[in-house]
Amino acid sequence: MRRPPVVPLRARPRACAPTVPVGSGSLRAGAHAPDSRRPLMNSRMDDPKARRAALPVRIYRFYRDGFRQMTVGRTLWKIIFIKLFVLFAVLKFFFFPDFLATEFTDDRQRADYVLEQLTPSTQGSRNLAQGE
Amino acid sequence: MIENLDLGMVNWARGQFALTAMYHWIFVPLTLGLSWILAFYHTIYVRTGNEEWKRLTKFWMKLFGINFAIGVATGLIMEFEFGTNWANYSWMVGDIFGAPLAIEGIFAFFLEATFFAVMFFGWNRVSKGFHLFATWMVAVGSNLSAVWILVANAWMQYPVGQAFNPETARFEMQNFLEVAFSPYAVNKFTHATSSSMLLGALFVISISSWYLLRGRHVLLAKRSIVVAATLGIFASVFTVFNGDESAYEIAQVQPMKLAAFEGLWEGERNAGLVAFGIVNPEKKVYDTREPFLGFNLHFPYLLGLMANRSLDSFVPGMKDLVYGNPEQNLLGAVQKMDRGKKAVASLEAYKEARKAGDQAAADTHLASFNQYKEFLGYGYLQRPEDAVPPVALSFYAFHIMVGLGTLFPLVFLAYLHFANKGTLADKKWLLGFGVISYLLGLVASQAGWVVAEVGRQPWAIQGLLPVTIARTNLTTGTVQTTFYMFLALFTLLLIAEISIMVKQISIGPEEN
Repeated sequence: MRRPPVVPLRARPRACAPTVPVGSGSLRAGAHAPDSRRPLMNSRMDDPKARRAALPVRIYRFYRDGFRQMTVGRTLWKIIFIKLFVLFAVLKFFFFPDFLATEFTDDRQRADYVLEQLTPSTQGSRNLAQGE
Repeated sequence: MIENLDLGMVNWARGQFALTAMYHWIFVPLTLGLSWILAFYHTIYVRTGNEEWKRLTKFWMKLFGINFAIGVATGLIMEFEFGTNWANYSWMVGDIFGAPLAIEGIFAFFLEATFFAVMFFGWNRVSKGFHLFATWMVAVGSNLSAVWILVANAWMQYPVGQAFNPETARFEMQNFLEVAFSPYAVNKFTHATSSSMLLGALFVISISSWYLLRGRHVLLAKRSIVVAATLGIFASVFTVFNGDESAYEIAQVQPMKLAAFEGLWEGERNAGLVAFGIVNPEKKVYDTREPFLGFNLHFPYLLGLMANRSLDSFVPGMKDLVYGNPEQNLLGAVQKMDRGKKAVASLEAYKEARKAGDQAAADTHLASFNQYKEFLGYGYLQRPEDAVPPVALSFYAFHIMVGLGTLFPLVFLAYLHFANKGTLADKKWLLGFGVISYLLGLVASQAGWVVAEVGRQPWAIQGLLPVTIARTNLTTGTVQTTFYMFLALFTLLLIAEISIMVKQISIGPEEN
């Protein structure tokens, strides 16, 4: 398939900018809004190379506008961030140290410690081991 | 060491883990279940192009988002607890669980960063087909992300595909496929996901019933109910079948758990399934007291059918499993403790020989350990009766779960019947029950976890590691403090969720 010539971004006239309304953040122009039957796509968007180049920008806008248009979502994000802060910066840091990671320096020591826990030193168990 | 063990700490750590897991499990099944229902609503919208279905889909999507946001990361706390309260356990299972749980974390991250965003932000911004694909992927991905944690849990109940390495004090993976596709894991996954869909259907029915009782959003409520009840029936039937399969698996690999949740103290042939009974709280495995107080109701023969797929088979009771039953060729905890103590003693002798540099003695003790290692956990029990889990809690949790699980398909059928006749809005009694049905679903869902986790006590890993050895040697006060901190944090989060959810439900779909 023949590809149209690549036009450097700087050389493109402003009219070639996507006609997607500002703030819509569409990943794909001509999306499925009932009021947008007319494909929101222009000559630049028809250009496969131009579309590839614009994708990161469109993804960025997609997320940006999605977050901007949130209503309940803003409260939820606040709750998520507070929760993560409490979990990681308070609970994990002050109250939930990884016992074996903090008490021992290498895996050999950790293995020996756990093995100690698994083998209570009693004379009875020694006798059993010796078959008595 | 065992003689210095603080049992209080173990119980507080168990309580803390139960609190965390049960709180986490309020949100997870709704996320898993509602995601499928959303996908169906969205599909109907895409196929019909009817804007009312779009409004409906967006409304349920918003409630799904609230539940997801409040529940997200609550499961991480369990990982904190593993490292702090259950250090021995964490070390010993690290080789089995590490990779699968890491895969799950990465998988969940990419899923959430991509398809969740497209699902929520994608209206009018991506093509209809891709948007619908994203909604389905959220459902598929959410449910798949539950696979590994359920595989890990199943492995603790049925530890296959592993070998204990006394050099590293770790259970090491020998056969990944055996771990990932053990029948126990498959049943656990299918049971958890189908019962989650059932719970999601009850959530939709609860809110829609409330709307119908108030005469608000009637069309949305009726349409929501028809789809949810239809999916709910399929989910219920599937849950019953895989629940029965789970019970069969339990009978094969955890007969003590089955005996506890059926209140079966002495084994018998032609055993009946208890439909109703009040457990005698004084009953002990070594006495001859009646197992039930007053009236109790049994369905004859069904326990044998459930446990062994045979009406007249012998189903062992707790007494058989504690003291053994030579007639049935059953080893009891008494005999297993004897072998377990030999395993522990051999392990210690191996450790000492290795320290002393005596390789020949180490090899001898290792051979002895390997002979008895499948009974290792029994070597740490103080008394054979310690092998019995809390019977009353297991019994009631199981019967509440099964009783409610039997009721729900009837509720779904009633909803579909009256919806089909066009008289649903007039059936105030059914709608009133429907409003509380989600709470009942939550009770059944939580009861399921009580059955699974309380029923397997005293084991962290079935037969190999009791909880008393799995723990870290911490003081009781340390664990008590964090227990109350979690209780406060969880209560706040629950209040936040309920208040945001109730507000959005009372606003309804108009503002979406």
